[in-house]
Amino acid sequence: MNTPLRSAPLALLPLLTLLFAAGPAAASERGKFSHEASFTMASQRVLGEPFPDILADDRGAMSPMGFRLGVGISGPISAIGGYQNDLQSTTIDVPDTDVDIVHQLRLHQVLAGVKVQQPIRPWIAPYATLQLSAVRGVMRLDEDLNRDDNLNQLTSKGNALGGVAAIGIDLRPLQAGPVRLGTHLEVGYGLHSRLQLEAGDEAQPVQNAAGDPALQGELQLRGLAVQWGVGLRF
Amino acid sequence: MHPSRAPARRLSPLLALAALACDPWGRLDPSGYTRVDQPLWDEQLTVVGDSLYVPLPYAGALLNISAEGDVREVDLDGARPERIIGLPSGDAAYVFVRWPVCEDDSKDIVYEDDCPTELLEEATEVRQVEGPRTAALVDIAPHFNSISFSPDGRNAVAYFSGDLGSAEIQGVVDLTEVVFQPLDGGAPIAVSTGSTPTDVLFTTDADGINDRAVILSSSQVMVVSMSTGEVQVTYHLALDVDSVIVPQDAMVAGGGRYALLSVAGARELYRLDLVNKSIDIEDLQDSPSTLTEVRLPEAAGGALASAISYSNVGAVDLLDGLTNERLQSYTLDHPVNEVFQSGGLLIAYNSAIDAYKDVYLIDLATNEVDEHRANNPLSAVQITVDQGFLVGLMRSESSSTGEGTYADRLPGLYVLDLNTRLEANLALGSSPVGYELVEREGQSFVLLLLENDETLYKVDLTRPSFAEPVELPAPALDIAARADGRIAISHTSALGLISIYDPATGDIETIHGFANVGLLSTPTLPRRADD
Repeated sequence: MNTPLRSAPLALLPLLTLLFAAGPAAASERGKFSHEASFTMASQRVLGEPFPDILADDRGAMSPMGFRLGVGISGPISAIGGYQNDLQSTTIDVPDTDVDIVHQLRLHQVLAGVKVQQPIRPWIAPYATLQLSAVRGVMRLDEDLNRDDNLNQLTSKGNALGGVAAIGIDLRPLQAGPVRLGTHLEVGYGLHSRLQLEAGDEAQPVQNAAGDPALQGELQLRGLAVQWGVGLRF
Repeated sequence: MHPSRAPARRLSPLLALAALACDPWGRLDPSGYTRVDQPLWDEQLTVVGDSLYVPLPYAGALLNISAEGDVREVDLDGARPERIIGLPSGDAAYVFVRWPVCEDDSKDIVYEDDCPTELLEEATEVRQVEGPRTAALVDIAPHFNSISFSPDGRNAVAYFSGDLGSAEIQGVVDLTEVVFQPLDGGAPIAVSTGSTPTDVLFTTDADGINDRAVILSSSQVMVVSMSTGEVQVTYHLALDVDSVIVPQDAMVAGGGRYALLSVAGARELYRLDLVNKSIDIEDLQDSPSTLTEVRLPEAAGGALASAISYSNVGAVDLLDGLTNERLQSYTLDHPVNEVFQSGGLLIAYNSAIDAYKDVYLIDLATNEVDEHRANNPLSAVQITVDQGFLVGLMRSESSSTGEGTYADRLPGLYVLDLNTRLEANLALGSSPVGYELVEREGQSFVLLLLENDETLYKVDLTRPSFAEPVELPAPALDIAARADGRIAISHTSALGLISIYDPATGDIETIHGFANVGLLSTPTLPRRADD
């Protein structure tokens, strides 16, 4: 299942090898345009099959959007960091009741790490990144959006830590003075601890059979991680 | 325009788009739509003693809500609850559970969908749970869909009563078997009756212990010792094996010496002598609708008697419990199908036919019949604990014409003061969800819930036209009394909402949001084939 997606990073390896092999010819480009500010769109696979039915999503992935900032440190190395968030919002029709549930799952992700790039030409730079990642998940459930005083407006929260390693290509086709317009595409692997969603104070606390707080669910961001971005290089 | 500002200006829409995309605080309308295949919780209340059991069908879990309001998931070892039956002691319940089993033990098979269909089976068991924990596995096969308990609370009796619903028989099964399970944890005793059971009655010995079971089945009645499983006698109701006689109603009479049973559509009363092992068949004036054991008041001798009502004749006959001789015959205006005793009164009414709205109070000491007429046909009649009031629900009559038409179209609550014989017919704004009778400081109240109504109506039976409203958080779906006297009310809610009303203080405790447990989880296969 999903073999083409999982093998995508491997398919890119020969191309990237060729590009990095061309590195010495482009040594003069190193360090140029190593600062960046990008708008990003990503896809991060969620471990677990089948994907939870309640999310009404058969992609098996979360799709966060956000931004990435990068600051050149030394030569080809730059420090990068960013923030992304994803919102899945669904109306759930529950049988045997007239009440529908509005369900929202929002993931906040903060990333920080390093990026090593190898410009071949001023407009193309293969790179590799390694970033640490912190994820906070917030699940909200509401039985009646039209009433602010209904009892079942529930929130569940959880945190996960992990990292993302990726390789990619940065294209900078347009230059205006000291600034270039760039777009990047990277493919890698993300690995996080389990994000366990525990009920907030609004709901009746429920203990599981072991006496621990019962979970509303859990996700694990693990697997193929793809990011596309567009922004400025300077 | 300054040349160096041009690129930034061109890119400003892009940056605005990026900022919008990052908006983590905005509240978006739902963009997706999905439907879960099962409700998140079951609103039908299962009260066991002071606690509640709430199944979560979607998550496949069972919650226990204690008397203190603590909510715990019941340990079912990954199995899904199917049925819950409270034990008479009020401190435990039988839970019939089911779980998927994959015959392939491969570690790659984690979820039910991972298992090839041909290797996927279901296993079942019965667990005795006490609060949130499993106390024991009960040796009762899950196909036993009827369980009753002996009145002394010492034995559970399980049998298959004809309709298995969506469940399936596994392996080789004797569907005529009856199992006696001692509730003190003793070994079960199984008896094969040879015919599908329809009902089980119990006899009582001199010490007040239910010692024998009278098992009714098609064309046959079997008397079995519950301590040894010995079949003491088998009565064949038909001389020809091709004739099928299906018992309709039955009772133990004469202090356990006799069993009386009626047969659907027949005018005969079968009287089984459980001591002399003989059968008498008596012709009655019509097909019986109910058989009821009655204790006559001291003024009338204090003996046990049998009350018989009829399907098509307005009469109740009182037979001597030992001799079966007719002691009294009460003539009524209409047939009745519900008869029960309350103190020195025999209460009779018809809950099946809308045209019959009478309720009869038969004084067993004086043999006087006091007839009262409700506005609408009655159902769910109860008597208060102090035997001071009769309360019943009245059904609406959609096709009614003539006088009182508007009131006839409305559902209602009927209240009869059994001391003063004053009655009240209260009209209800919507159909009743249910009611409970409570007593506090010598006063009797009805707690009444109506459909689509966020109010609990507390009706003082001494002043029934005065109903005190108690505000609820949402419309109610079910009502049940706990052993501690507090009232549990389930509400219209997808994520779980139960109110606990204390009639003594008027306080309402609300328990909500518990049905989101496991909402985002996909359960893994709980047990492997070799577990």
